[in-house]
Amino acid sequence: MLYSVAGIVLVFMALLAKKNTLFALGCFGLGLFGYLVQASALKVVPDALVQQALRDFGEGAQARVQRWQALFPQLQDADEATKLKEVNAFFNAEIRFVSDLRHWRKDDYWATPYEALSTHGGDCEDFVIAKYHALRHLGVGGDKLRITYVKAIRLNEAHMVLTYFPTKDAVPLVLDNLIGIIASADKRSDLVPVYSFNAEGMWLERMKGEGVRMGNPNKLDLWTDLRVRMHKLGLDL
Amino acid sequence: MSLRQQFSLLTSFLVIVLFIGSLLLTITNARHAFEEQLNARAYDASSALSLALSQVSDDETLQLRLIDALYDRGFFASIEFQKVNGQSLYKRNMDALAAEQSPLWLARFLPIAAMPAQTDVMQGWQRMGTVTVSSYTGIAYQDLWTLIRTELMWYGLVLVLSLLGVQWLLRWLLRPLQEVEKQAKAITERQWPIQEHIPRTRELRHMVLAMNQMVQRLRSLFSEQAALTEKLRLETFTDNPTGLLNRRGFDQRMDTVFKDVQEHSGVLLLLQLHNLAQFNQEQGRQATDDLIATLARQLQLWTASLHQAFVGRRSGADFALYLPCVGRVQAMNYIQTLIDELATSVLSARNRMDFHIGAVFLHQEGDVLSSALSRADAALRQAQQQGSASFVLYQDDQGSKEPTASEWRALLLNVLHYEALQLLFHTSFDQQGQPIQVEVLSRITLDEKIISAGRFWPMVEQHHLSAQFDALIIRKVLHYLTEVDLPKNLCCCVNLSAASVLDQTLLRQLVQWLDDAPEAAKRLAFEVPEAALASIEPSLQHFLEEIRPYGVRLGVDQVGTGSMAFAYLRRLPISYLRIDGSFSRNLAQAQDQRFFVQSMVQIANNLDIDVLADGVEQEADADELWQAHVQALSGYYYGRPAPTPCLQPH
Repeated sequence: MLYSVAGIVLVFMALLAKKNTLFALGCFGLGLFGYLVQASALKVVPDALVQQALRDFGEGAQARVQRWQALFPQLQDADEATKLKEVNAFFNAEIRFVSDLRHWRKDDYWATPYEALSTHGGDCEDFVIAKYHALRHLGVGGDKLRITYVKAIRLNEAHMVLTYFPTKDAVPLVLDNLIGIIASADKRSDLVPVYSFNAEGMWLERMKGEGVRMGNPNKLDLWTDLRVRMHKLGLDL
Repeated sequence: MSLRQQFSLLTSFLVIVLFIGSLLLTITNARHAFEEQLNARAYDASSALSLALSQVSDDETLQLRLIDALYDRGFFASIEFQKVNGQSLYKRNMDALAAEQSPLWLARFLPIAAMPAQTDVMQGWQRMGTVTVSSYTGIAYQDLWTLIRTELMWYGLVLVLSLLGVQWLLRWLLRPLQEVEKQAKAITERQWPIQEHIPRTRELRHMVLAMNQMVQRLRSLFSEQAALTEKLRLETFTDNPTGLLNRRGFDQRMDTVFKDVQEHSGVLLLLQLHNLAQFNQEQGRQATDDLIATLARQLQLWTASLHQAFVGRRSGADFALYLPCVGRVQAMNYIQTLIDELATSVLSARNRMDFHIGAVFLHQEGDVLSSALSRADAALRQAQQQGSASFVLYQDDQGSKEPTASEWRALLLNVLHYEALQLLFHTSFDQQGQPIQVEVLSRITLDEKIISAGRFWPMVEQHHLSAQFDALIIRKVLHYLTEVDLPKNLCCCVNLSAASVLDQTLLRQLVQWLDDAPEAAKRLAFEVPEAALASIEPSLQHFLEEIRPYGVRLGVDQVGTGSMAFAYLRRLPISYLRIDGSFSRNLAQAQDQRFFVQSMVQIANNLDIDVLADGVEQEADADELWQAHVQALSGYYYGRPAPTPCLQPH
């Protein structure tokens, strides 16, 4: 369903985007592609990634990526609560928590879900990204999801969670990798919220969209860098 | 449009196209960069503000002060804080600034879209609302406007400099072309300049060299043709060893005198060396030839000093002279002078050479050559009865009283004083019968008898009054031209005597008159006899420099009677030649004469000079002249001189 809507929107955008032929063609192509995908099962993870995981990281990685691929058609028609629960459980189980410094030998690295799954490791941001990506593709509205910077009191360290707002002014649900279950935010006295941002604001969409198109992530922030890398893997947010 | 203008236009076009393209690119890029920066700043500000607001979510006053603090920096057009339920909590909005630094149209044509940046403000885990921040675009427009103006100034400077550069470069490059143009113009004005400066550019160098070659070729062609024609004339009409006219040449000149439209008055002399054969036997052939040559030279010198006099050698020992003079008294004076001069030099008694002169005074209309010659011959027989160095002037019954020289002087001064001179006009027509030119003649009245210039002019010359008479005629003609409306293109020509050309006073007067009558001046032409050209050419150059600016033309008449080569055609800016009547007459019967006329017309036409012929009496001669491409004819066949110009051929 999502793909068919996106396809129609993209075709419409192609018609509107007169000033850039490449962009228009791209939109049109994507739209058509989306429509064709919708005709069969919901396919978010390209088969090429499965092959790539086998080639680069071996059979274990391939199996994880395959399970990830299978998650989408599985939850395609489930209700939103099930989707939240299953997605949270899936990534908490499939990704091992490793700090960036150890795993990537970098201070802070936002890995794509493919990287996190295939290398079988990631830190809090990588969990959040993978969950956000999956939920958006399963049709959860962008306005309901926020990425929130928090402080974990017990660990006394910076942490990140994905929050879900059933309504605008509701107390959100927290999807966290520290505990297995989804809890309401007011039950999470171990976390102090600092700041949350909407990964899909209209303005942000536009700015990041250009960043992706320009293919030059160096001068942009981590989020954009991530989106560019995901785009290259065929995993658009 | 000149080549230089075309190049300049092309350069300007290129510079302007480049400029517009570059300006558009720069502006588009700048606009894009400005837009990105504004939006990034709005987003950063919005993020920072919402982060700050989230920290103090329980203190609304502090929150509003935070917003004010950011807003008052002046970089943002609007900052709005909205509750999560959509209710607006606080809003600061910048009004359009009164003093906009950039024109309004700029915003219309180059819109900078400032995207409002929206971020969440949190209250603990919950969303409190959103902050929306929009950048102020005025500063961007101002920068953009400054950029456009700077670019415009820079390109304007480049345009001006490149145009100046192109002008200078082209002027330098195309100078040879201008020189060639000048050269070509000079050729049409019958000069043959050679370009000294050979340009280095290959094509231009070839062109200049080719032009120079052509000029040289034309010059030599002209010289060759002129020399050939000259030689032909000499062979036909002159006596070989002496260079005088031969019998045919003399008779023809004489015939012209009789048949000229002006009345004639002069004396015909036959001079015979009595014992030339004996001299030849005694002194040898060389001495005889020397004697003849010396005599010829002396006669020629003597006649050259008299206006329109000429001399010929009719046969071995027979010479003939014609001296225009006004009456028998003057004629006798001339003859006596001649005899004195000869008897004291070449034909002195020391040479033991007898010579006699028989003369006849001719002034009647209806004189013919044969009768004149037979009367002169009769006088010669009489003279031979007397001793050596004697002469007899043929007596006829023209016993009328003649004024003496001093009476003549009084009479002529009187004419000048009262301007009692009447103009006569003699028209030349072209082949279609259109009048082309009128030659001005003059006459005076003496004792109720009309005397034409042909008769009284020798006296004018003798008393050195020709400049005054010419001045009077010119003044009358200019007056006539301003008064009378002649057909367009009809030009009026006045005969100018050699003395007038040399007279500086007359020239000053003339310039004054021409100044006063500029329209008439354009219809005026002066004619000088070919025979006089040699002696007055330098003065004539000066004379022409003064009067040419007024559009006055110069013609040469009696062409063929002078002994000059045609080289003067090249040196003087001559408009037309008038072939002497002696060439027109019986042209149909004389093939060599015809050839002379034809080649002369050819030479003249090559130099863009018109050729007219005078003294046409028969249709056959007229036909021959038309065939030779003579432009206009005059003579009794077309009409006599008349007090008003005759505009129809007779």
